[in-house]
Amino acid sequence: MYEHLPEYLQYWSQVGLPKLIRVFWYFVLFELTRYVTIDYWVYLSNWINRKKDRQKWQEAQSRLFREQPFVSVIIPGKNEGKHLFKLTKSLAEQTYTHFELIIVDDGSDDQTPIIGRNLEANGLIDRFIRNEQRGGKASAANLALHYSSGKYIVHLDADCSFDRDAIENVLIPFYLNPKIGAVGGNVKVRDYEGNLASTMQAIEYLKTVSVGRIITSKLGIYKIISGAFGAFKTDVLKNLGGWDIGPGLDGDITVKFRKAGHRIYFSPTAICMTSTPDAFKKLAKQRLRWDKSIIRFRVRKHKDVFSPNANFKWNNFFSLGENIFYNLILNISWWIYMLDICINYNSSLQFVIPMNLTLYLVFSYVQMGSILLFSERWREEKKLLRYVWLMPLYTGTFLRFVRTRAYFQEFFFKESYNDPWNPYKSSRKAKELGF
Amino acid sequence: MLKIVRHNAKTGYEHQGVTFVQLDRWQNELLQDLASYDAILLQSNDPKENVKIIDRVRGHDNPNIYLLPVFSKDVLPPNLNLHTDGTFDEGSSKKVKTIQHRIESVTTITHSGFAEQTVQKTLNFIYSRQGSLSPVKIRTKSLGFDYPFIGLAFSEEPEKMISTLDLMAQSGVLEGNLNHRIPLCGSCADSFLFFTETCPKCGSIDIGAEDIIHHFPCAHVAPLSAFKQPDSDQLQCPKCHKGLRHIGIDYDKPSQMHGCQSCNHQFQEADMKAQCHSCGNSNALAELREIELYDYKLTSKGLMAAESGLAPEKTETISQNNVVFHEIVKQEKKRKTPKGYHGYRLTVSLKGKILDALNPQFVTHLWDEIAELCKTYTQSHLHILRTDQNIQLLVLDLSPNNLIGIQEKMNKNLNMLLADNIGPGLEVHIASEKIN
Repeated sequence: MYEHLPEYLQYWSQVGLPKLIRVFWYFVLFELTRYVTIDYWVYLSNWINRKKDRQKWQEAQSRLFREQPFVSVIIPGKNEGKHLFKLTKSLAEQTYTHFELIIVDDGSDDQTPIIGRNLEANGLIDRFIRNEQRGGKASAANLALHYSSGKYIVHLDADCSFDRDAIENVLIPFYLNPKIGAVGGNVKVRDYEGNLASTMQAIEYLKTVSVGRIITSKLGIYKIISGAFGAFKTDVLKNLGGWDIGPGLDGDITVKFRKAGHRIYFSPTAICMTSTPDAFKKLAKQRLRWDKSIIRFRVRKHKDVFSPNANFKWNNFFSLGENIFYNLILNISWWIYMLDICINYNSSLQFVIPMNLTLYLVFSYVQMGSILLFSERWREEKKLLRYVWLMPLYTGTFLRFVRTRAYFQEFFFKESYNDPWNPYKSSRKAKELGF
Repeated sequence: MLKIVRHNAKTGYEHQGVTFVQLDRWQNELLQDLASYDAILLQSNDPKENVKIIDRVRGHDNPNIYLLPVFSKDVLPPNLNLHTDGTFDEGSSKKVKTIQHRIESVTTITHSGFAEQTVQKTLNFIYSRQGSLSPVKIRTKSLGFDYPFIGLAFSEEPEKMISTLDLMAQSGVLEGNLNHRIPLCGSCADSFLFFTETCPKCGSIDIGAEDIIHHFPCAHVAPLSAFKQPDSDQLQCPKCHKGLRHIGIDYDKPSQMHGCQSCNHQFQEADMKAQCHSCGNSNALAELREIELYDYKLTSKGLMAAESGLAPEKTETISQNNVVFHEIVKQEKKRKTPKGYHGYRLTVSLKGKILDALNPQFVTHLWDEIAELCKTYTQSHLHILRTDQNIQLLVLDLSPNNLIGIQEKMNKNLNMLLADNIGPGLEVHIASEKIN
């Protein structure tokens, strides 16, 4: 292999920069700009403003603790009993304590009702509500919302655990700016050393959630508050009718907040650790569900953000536009790019493919550099550097194939309505009425 | 008073070859004659007199009396009826013949202790009544049930009746099939309980329930009242304003929510409380006691025990610990004994001039021997305190007659023992003291 190295280097030194850009236009135009240039630019901007930002944060923190608003922490779910005790322990450690804990059991068929009632009887849960019949995550969340009495709703997933100041840090942004209607928490992968699928997701979460949402929040186009950890103004949430039927209800509720004129903020220091699928097959299933929701909600349900009507807002336009562009359009254009390369550079593939891999490899490490710059636990997360070289295969191939399949299934067959994640009775009716 | 209803004897009544004695009130002199009749016919309309007659007959120690078939002229209240053999009719004489035939095979052995005697009598009763004993629903009893025959012996202590039957089953003379499991008040052990749902926060019984509605298309969930239209019976979703037409198609009712009218607390699981009608205690379900009632049958061991008598089973403890013994005596003084039975402290001491002259080791050995012998003189539960000066025996549930018998027997045998082994000059003295 090494005997071809001089020939390979000579080829790329002779073709020049214009041809390099022509061959790797997809990488230069989209990947490098979006995921590297802007990341470092935002980091620099944050670093310059760090003192001012810190002071504002501390003032907001003081206002939060002076007011001590009552908060409702809600956790809807099915068969989550096994996680509940750990979750209550994690929440008992919080620095912000003025909250009620409401758990909705959405028709569990395991020991969840017994565990929930027991925790309620022992005062570890304030209210445990059980639905004998499963209605889906949105209905369970809405039931919790109905019985919430807090000024803010913090929505969590049962299989998560939290930094001690996570609830405090997800609430502080409401006191930074009164226009903020909802705040997203920073979701990271908990057991990322257990298996390769989790390790890959750990890097991906750092890239797309931890750093990606800092960037979109900074640019004012942050568009998805993770269902695992997010906070909402209760009055606004109730006025909006709560969550609509899923899957993809976390992205949907965020867009509803945006459309209602509220700002969405990402709080990177509100750290939540979650469990992720531990096998690629399970991961593919999860991502098929998530990716279908882009077509269902962004392209279909909320297409009105692209219409020049009275409610038109540029930031909503860019927010959803960026989402659709980077996920849907670029996914399609990648196949066009591959076709372009195969047709026009067929004779040079032995040089193009290795260079492509080299660029993406370097790009992944540069991107990991920005991740570690932003991270509050970079010392632990630098262990992931050993696996970064696999990311081009993971994101560039595995996730791309899954995404393409999901878009195809949803666009042509509306497959999301058949997803067992939601009860059939609800999905059927939602499909019938076009929700 | 015996009353002649049809003449063939002065005090009796014969029917199909069976002699009945008809009683309308109790007199102690009747006891002498009762055993000569085949059965008793209750004549009185006064429930108190009937209770008295049944109590005295069944409480007697002679099997020819306590096993006598008892019939009533009229239908008796259930709490009395269960201790009789029913209302007199044409089939009664045949029934009496069967019972009498069985009574002939029953042992005549009596036991000095109340517990042993009650067990023996109960076995004999079951044996004479087709070999089974089942609980009967009696509204006026604290357990809500009573057992025939044995229920009379423990009329004030129903839990003791249950534990006696349990012990009989454990010892293998009876075998039981579960009939009922009864929750009892944790405070007074009464079964008359009111089960009420209460608010888990304030304990109020003023609570109501409302259905929760889930509207499928928009995932809105709220109580039924939020969907109700003020001026019609129609339901409309407050979120998407669509009408709800068909349960299972448009919407469902996944759960219910309770609301407390007193404190406005909302909850799904009401607290269940059991209020005791007898003592008024409000029991949480976990605080309730529970007993099990069985249908009992005689086992082959039970049959043998009815025919030949119970093998003696004794629990004796010889202690040299003065404090423990006196503590037991103190506790026993507080215990309520069965009617006609008492607990006694017997003090066995040695008197004689030669006592001081005997080798101390020999005296110690002598006391040990006497203590061991003392154990054999009673079949009731026994505690023995052995000191260097005397031996004290705590004997429980003895009738005065039994006590005298035991005392005489012990006195005679122990003195004979001393005379044979040591010679004259040393005597046993036994003093008794009633402790309850």
